[in-house]
Amino acid sequence: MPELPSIYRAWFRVVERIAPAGVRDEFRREWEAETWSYRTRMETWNRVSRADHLRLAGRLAGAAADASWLRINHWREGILRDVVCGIRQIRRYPASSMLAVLALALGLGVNAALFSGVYALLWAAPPVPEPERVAALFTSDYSGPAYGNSSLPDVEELQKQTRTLSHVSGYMTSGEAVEVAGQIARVEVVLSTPEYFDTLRLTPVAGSVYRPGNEAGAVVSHRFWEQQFAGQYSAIGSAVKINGVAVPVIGVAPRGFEGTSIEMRGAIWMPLSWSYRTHPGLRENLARRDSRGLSVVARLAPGASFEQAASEMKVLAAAFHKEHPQSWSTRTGAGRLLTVVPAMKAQFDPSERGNVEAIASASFAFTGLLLILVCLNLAHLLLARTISRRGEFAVRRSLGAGEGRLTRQLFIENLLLAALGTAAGLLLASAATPAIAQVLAVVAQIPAPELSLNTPAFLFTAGLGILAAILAGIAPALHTGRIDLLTSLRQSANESGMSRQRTGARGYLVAAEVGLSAVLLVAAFLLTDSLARQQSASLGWDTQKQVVARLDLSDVAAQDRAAVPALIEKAVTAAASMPGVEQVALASTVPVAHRLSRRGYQVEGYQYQPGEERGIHILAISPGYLKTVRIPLLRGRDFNSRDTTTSPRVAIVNQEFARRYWKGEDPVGRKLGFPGAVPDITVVGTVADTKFLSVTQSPLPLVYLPFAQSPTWSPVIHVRVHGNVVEHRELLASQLDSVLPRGSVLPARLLSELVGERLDGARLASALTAAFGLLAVLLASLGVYGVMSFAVGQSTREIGLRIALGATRKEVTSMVLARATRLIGTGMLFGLVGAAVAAKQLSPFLYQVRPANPIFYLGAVVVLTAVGLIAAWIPARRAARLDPQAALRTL
Amino acid sequence: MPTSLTIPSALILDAILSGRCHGFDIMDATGLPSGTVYPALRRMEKEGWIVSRWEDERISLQEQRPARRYYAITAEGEAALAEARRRYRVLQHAGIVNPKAQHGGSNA
Repeated sequence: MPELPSIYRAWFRVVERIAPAGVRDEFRREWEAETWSYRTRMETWNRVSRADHLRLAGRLAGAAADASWLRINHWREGILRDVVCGIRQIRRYPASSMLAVLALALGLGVNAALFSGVYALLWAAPPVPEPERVAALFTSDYSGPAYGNSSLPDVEELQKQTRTLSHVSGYMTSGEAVEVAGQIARVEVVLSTPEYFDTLRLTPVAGSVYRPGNEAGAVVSHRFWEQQFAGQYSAIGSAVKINGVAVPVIGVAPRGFEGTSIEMRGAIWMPLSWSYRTHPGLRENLARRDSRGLSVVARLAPGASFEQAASEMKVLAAAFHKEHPQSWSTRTGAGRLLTVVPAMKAQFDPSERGNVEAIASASFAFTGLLLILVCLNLAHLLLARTISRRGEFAVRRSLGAGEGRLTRQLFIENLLLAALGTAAGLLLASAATPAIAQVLAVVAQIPAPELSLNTPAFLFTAGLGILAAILAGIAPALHTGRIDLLTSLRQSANESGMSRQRTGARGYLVAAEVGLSAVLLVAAFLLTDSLARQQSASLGWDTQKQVVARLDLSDVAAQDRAAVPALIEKAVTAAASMPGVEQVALASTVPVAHRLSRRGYQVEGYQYQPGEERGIHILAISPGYLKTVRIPLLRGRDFNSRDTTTSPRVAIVNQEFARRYWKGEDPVGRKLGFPGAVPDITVVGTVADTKFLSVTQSPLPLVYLPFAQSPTWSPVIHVRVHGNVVEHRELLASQLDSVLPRGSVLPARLLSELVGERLDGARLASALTAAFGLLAVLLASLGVYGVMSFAVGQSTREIGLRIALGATRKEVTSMVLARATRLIGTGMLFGLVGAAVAAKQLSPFLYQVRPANPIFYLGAVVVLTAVGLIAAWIPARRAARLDPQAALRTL
Repeated sequence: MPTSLTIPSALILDAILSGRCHGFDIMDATGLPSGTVYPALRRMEKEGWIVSRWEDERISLQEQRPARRYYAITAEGEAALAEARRRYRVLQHAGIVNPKAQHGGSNA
């Protein structure tokens, strides 16, 4: 039998290397036999063409595919086996597996929830086609800040002149009591120029949208459609009543779309042509070039970039300034600016963005550290398991399992744990996301985004889970690689030695854990203290025992403005007639729930610096308001019933106002005025500073005006009561309803509740940080316990020998504790340095807390040492109680 | 496990059923490339649709050639093929012989 030519044999020898070792021989024999027969057969043919040779070559090339298939199948089967094996391992160590899954779930869950919140605030795109080409456009303010509103005449001129923007649309929101089939719903209505939907390229899910030339009515949000119309298509063609005007519904916006900014969400969109009917006076107001009430959204023209748009806006702004110097100058005389920002980065006031980013990265640093701690603990746990399975691995290696094979098995076991942990973490995250979003919003002082766990967060978490599995698997894998066959087989039967070398890798892990825990603990101490101080900090006014209700008399005003004051008076009388009422007062708003409005004033004897903010916060109040909410009057008088529309204009200012504008001198008798007019508002009193927006804010200069001289159609009625404030809430609502037109009283609330909502985020943040700190301590102590427990378990023989040779139980205990102290001490040393660095980074977020205060560091040392020693003491006691005879028998 | 047959696998089973019983022979009969035929054979053997055995050394020595690996269809394989025939109409014309295999034919 002639041999197969060596070229073929060489080929098969190369290819067989691809196939797994166990089947290589059969693989080669089969291919060689087939090739041999085929070649022999070819020799019998009369003519062997080139194509025949090529066909044979093709078939031989297929051997590589065959070998690859064998290899892949081998892997697949191996992995399947490893998965089964991994599940068995998880069940074999249920307690430690559960611990690992729980720790991972906490670490991942917190990160996922945070990511969800940060993603929605900073990176999410509005749900419109090509969102990256949608822009927000701003006109700079008179006093400087770039991100101000624009006027309708400017928007219309922009639409005509711009080449880099294909669509420009102006819009504003207005809170309305909207009547749908007899039911009143309080929603935000967006009043926009007709290009709004074309700009965003939104197609309705039902009906149509308005556009230039076809402004038949209003578009409702998907949510509003579901809530008010039960998702019925009959909604199209029906009407919503806004300020008494029936506006036909022409379409439903896509699900999830509620605007391009979280600050201006809408439930109903209405073209300006309809808004002029529902909002009398709006047309005249918007027609003025110096009346800047519109937000602007635009879309880049095809081929245009944001850079091109920015430079065009520069040119256009200069042209506007030249053409309309009156309305386009800033207070320094220079022209205003037009700023174009990607809409994705203008979900909230872009000047707040840096602040939100800083808070987000600080939070990520915190949760990231926590995750690292979790990984260390996991690594630890896995390493311990690997070591206890050293015997098993050694046997398997001696039976021919490669190092790679064992590493892979460990890795798959980790992945399984990670998968379980990730699943649990996602569950946790979906519950925690709304809370975290609220915390972020409160800390950053922006409106809370409404959100749930999103897809990017899901992917982020899954990725993080795998990363955690890899990180946690490194130490055990390295260890398996080092398993020495003979010694391991021998050692698995009788362990010995509590030497540094033995606990080496685990020792480092514990030191690292203690260090990280110290960092987290100090940070948690600092933040918790700061938040506690915030909560106990005095707001400067009293929120207890008060019921508030906002009235909305704009419908009445639309028909007969003169009727409003009498109605308000009637409401006040009705409220005061309730039993148990101490005091009733009116204010233009509840300062916690809404931002205060601002007005530009000139202050007698004060020269504004170039670029200085001219807007001063104002609050219109009735006589008795100060008493009702307990703001102390420091000098002068409160407003009284003689301060009317016909009497001289008066004001009360707070201390901060006097400090800022009058160098702290007595303000009573001084004057304020509208810009350009002779100051004619006389200050009649000074009150103490108060905090409205948050307790951390520094006091703002504030001007109180008499309600009678600065009336509004939607005042808030404050009622201070004796006795049960909750009962009065119900009573007030019915009392007001009985004297006012239907739909003009908004639900009555407890003032303390309203303020509490504002502070809830802070409370939540405080609870969360405290929980993080606790978790860190728990994880670190678990680590210490695990290591010491293993070390003791493995040095059973050594300890037994020592006891047999006369070592007292006390000596054994202190030997174990000394080792633990060394580990804890090393970690702590690094940890405290890290904590000092971290504390410095945290200082912008701290309220009245000195980051270098040694008490926090001392606290961390005490807590960690105590917990660590207790964790080590349990195994130490076990060691001391060893029966030397039994221990030595394990020899 | 009721995994369904792909068309190439069904063609290969069909070839084995009609007496083509080793690798290159099956390629000749079906016209499929070796990179398809071999992995399919491996997979079907794993599924239990075919079995393989090595040729008796005595026979191969007698015939002056190296021993071959022969494939035979199992009862499960026949059931799977019958099922595939119901699904793929192309397979209903049994006894497929690749017209391109000019020098084809069994020499086993």
